[in-house]
Amino acid sequence: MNEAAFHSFYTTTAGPLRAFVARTLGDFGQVDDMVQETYLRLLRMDGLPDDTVQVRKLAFRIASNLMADEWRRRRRTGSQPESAVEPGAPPPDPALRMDMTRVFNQLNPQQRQMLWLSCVEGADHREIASAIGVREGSVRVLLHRARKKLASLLK
Amino acid sequence: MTSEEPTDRDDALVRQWMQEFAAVPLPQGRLPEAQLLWWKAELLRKWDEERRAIAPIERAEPVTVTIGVIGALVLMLTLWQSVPGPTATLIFATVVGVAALVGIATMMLRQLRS
Repeated sequence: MNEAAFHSFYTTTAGPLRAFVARTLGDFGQVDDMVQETYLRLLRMDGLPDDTVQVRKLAFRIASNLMADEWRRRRRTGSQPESAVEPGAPPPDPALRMDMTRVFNQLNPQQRQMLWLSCVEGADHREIASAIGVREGSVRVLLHRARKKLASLLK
Repeated sequence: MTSEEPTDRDDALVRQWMQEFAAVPLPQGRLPEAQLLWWKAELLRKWDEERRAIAPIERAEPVTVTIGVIGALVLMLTLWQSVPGPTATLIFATVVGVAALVGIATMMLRQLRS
């Protein structure tokens, strides 16, 4: 991938990738650093494919791995998310926005990732499995549970 | 199907809610420009390559120093008997000892620098 191709790729993927990290990580303290690290790791990879669809999938996989590392670190150190509130979040209706965030944060990190990839990114089971590092066969069951839990939270 | 299992309606509800949630705007970010990221990655790639290139040298360095020190000691022991007089022996031992110390110090300095 050359500089011009990366520029175009970054322009189209930075927003969705940032939204994925921000919403599934559940806090805004480290989102931008994590997204930046994702792109740096991606660009340092040997044999990066030319197909931007594949590169986009790789970017989501790297971001998922970084988030998993962060959750592991938090579990080990017992630390809390840096900032669960959205600093300088734009209007309208901040109460509704906070409410939606609170509901989504009641799911576990893996469920948040799966639901986001499935419902927002439109990823299929194989792509979800590849992104979050679980077996393809497990995705169906885990996604079913995640949907069930979110549905019960919404009722 | 039990009442606890998600129905098609639940699936639709979840899907719609997720779409609405995804549409909620995020706070302004601090992401760098694409160009800056590209050059940062280029720099890191170069460092990676440099590290990969000098890795065998760094791995071999302690081995060469160790071989040198052992060689010096073996030489000293071999020639020990042929050296006449206590003063000459002392000088010889000092030279070998200093050589060994210089070798070890060089290795340690290099490791400290890296």
